[in-house]
Amino acid sequence: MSTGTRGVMSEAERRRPLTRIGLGTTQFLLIAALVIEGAGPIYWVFKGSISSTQESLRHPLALWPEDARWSNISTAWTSLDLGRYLMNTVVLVGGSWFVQLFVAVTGAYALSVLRPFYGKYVYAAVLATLFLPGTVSMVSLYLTIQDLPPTGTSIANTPMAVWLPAGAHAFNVLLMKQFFDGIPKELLEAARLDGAGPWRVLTRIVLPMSRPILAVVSLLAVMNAWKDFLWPMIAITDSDKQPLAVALPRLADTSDQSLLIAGMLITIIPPVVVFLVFQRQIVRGIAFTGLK
Amino acid sequence: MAESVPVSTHRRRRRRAVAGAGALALALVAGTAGCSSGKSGGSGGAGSAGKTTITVAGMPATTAPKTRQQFLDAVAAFEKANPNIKLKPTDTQWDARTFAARLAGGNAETVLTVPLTEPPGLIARKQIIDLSTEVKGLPHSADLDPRALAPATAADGKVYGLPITEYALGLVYNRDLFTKAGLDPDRPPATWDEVRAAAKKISATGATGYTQMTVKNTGGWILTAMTYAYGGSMEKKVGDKYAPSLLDGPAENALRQLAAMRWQDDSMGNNHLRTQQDAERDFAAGKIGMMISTVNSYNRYITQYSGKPADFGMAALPQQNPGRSTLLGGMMAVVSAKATPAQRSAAVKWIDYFYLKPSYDPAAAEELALAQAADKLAVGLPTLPFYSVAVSDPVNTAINKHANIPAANFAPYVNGVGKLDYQVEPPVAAQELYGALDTVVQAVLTRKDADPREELTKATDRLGPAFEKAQAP
Amino acid sequence: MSTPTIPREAPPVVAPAPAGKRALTANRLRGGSRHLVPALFLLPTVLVFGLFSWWPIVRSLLLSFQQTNLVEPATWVGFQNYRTLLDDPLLAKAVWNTVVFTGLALLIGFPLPLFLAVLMSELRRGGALMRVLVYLPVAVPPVVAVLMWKWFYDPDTGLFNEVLGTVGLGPYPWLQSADTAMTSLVVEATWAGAGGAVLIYLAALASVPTELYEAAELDGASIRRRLWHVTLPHMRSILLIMMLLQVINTFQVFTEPFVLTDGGPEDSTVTVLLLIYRYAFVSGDYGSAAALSVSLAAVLAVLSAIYLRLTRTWGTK
Repeated sequence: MSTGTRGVMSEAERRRPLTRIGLGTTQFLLIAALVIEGAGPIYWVFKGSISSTQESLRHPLALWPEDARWSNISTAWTSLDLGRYLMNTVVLVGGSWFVQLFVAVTGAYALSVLRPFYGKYVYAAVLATLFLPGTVSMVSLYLTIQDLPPTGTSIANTPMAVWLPAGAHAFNVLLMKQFFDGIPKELLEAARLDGAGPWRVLTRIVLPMSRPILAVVSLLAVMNAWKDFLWPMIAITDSDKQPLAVALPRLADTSDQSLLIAGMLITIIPPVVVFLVFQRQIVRGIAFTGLK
Repeated sequence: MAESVPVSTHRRRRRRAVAGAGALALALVAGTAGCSSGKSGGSGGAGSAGKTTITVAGMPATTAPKTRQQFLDAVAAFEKANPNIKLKPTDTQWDARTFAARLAGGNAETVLTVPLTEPPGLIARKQIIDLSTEVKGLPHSADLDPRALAPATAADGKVYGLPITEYALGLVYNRDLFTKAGLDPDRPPATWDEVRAAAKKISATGATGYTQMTVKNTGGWILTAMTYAYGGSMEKKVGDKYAPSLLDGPAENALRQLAAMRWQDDSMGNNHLRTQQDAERDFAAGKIGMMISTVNSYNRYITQYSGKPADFGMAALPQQNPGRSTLLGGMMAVVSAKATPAQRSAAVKWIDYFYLKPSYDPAAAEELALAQAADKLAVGLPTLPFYSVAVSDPVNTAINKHANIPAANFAPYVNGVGKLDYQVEPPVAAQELYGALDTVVQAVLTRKDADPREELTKATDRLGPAFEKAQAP
Repeated sequence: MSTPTIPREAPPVVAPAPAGKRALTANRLRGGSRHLVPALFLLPTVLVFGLFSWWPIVRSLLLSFQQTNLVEPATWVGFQNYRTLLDDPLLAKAVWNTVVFTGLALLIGFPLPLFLAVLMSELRRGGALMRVLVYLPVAVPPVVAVLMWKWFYDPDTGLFNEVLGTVGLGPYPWLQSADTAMTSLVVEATWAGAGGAVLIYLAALASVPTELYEAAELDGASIRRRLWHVTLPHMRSILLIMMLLQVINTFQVFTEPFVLTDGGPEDSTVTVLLLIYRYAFVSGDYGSAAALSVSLAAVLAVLSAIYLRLTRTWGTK
């Protein structure tokens, strides 16, 4: 069966004059609507961040400020201490990404390739957590980071409190294991017969072949960590250790509007740039995982 | 002239009794002090060579370098004077949401600085410790004003905390908007009917006449202040337990006044989901004529929101017959329940040295005032004195030498507040009560046909289980 | 049905291990380390899941039958925490609000992405541009999106009332009224989330076999009938899965009410998760918070089980 070469409408129908006009109009309207809906708000944030608060209030619909104040962005950067929050965010996102990838790769490798006899129980226990979204054990997770078994040390208020729980992401393990399962067994066997140890098989064969899935898991991990709000807010209580996403709502109540909007712009830029650069991988990843 | 809040006469009656108890306690503490230092080798903060280590919250953030340095200098001086005590300062801000868990994890400081809303709950949950004995051993303890101790005094008279700063809630208003609306900024409203009239005039100029905070429990907090001003209370003792007294009338009258301002006069603007922060920000930006707030909101007004000092006006909380009360706000120092006896006594020594001394020792007061002035923080705000006039007058004189606030703008407050009684926060389940009242205030301000009595009845019903739970034996 | 797959790169040529090391590694594998090595690789997984997933779940269950001030040892209180929940009039409200949010989100947020995806797949030009535009809101961090909409909804200076005012409508109260607050939250959430669904539907639409359309055409089916009888049935499973996924997500809504309304006005936007947060972090009642968490978990577990079952049958079809 062939797919994707045509939609609901046939070529003949598309050639009808009325349909063509209709399609053209729809195309124009749809793109216009999408520009307003998708790019509009982001442009509004951009415009707001270089306008004075007074001007934003007086001319909310103007396309360009009469008096563009690029200095707003640097003022916001220093007076709202955005550099610190951005750095905190980068540290949290980077660590979460690494822990997620490390856990998913080592775990999936053990489950898919090394296959210890108890593997299926561990896998079942990992998959079982898919049934329970993390938010429902939020309260006890919070108590757990306060007195981590077995020693009872506290990792609350440190980056660890965000990094480590991020690793317990069953979906990553599932994706990774399914991908590893697809690697031809003969290849791994041949390497083993050549005397390659498990670490060598992982780094020389499995990982190089898994770049696409590593990219998908990485992108999802980074995007999700950048967006996360509730857990970092609970886990990191010191205001000067918080990421942008947690700091912004607090700043929102206390800051001048134009400075806050400049702060929002700075928070938006990294994920939007990542998306624009990696959009093909992300779109593919979304379609592949069926997840937002 | 930024005089401190005059102390009304009735406190003198209590003074003698307290003084007597204090003398007795002094003798007692002399004995226990030696005892506790001997035990300091025990668990918890005892370090090597019998040193007691305590962590102390309240260090100013790096954004206020001078007062932070002053804090650190005080720590060093205190350690020098008390070689057996080691202090670990932290600049962690009080956060009710995380306190219990930090306490459980052993991360909570020994000395905590908390808003006045917190001590009753902390006492009920046994998360802070009784300091009565130690307090009675402090210098000038006989002169301590029981009203200043009241927010952390349990029903059985035990004292669980010492005051850091306290003030009565009042009416904050924009003097510039008053002038524009044809009102006299030196004669702010003294009754709620005058508030309504002023709000109407101010809103005619395009600004919001009067704003009420409504979310994150501030709605309940401010309504409580209003209810006190209407001569009412939020909780009453029935038998040996407290119950909500929302339906006594005053709360309802306060809400009816708000409803009239909102729906008949339309003088309260359009935003009725207000946090304290965004109300203060918009007030500083000159968008709001009046609101109920605290004396030290002036600090945030100038430092955080860059408001104009000349526009900031403050009056005593407007009263409506038969009311003559206001709500007490501020901060107190309390000690974690995890503290050992040695840590407890070290903690109280520190609280005395750092927080109380500037209230009874003019030299310490002046030093603090200088540091605050250098950090551009307000000096000379009319706060509640913790000690009798004989002790606090010389202190105020010392502070006022360095006052940097527009004193005349606070005159209506200073003159008015002396006639009022100070009432503390509701003693039982205050946060739950405030949360339920948020809903009531929001209903009255966002729904024209909301009936204040019906909403208060719903809130009372909703609070039943919380009160039962909070007072379970 | 073909699932979009990730193309694999050609396997790299494996460099043979140095001869000296070879025997050693093989020996190590055959010896006692045969069990040790997999265990070492599994260790991070077991540790991380054990400490931050399995133990908190068990602990939630235990905690829901306990009362604790976190200073003294916890005491067992049986079902008292659950009774506290049932006594709290706010619970019914929170459950109802959450269901309303979920329902409205389905009503507004479910058909819209499908409609967009069908339109986009029929239009030949600008596909890449449209895909980028449609997904952009999803790339905006939710907190920023929420703050942005807070300004849009502002009753005094908000963009929406400004725009509607120019055509003589409004002003509307948006978040300032119990009647409209929840809908306003749903509109924001739909804006923030619809892009992902559109992309998934686009992938699914591309997989409809051409022959089916041609056969329907020969039968004289109109465009509308083809959509109804060919496209939609083909997408049935993915639609069902997306619906469940959306229900699972919207049941946990928190950021929107927390930042925009704090549950107001008049508790009209208090959701279950917001209530859990308040129990635990405002009232310090960890027991009741755990009891409500466990109850929510039970509901979500059932939904997730259905979801997983569907994805499995869908994946194998």
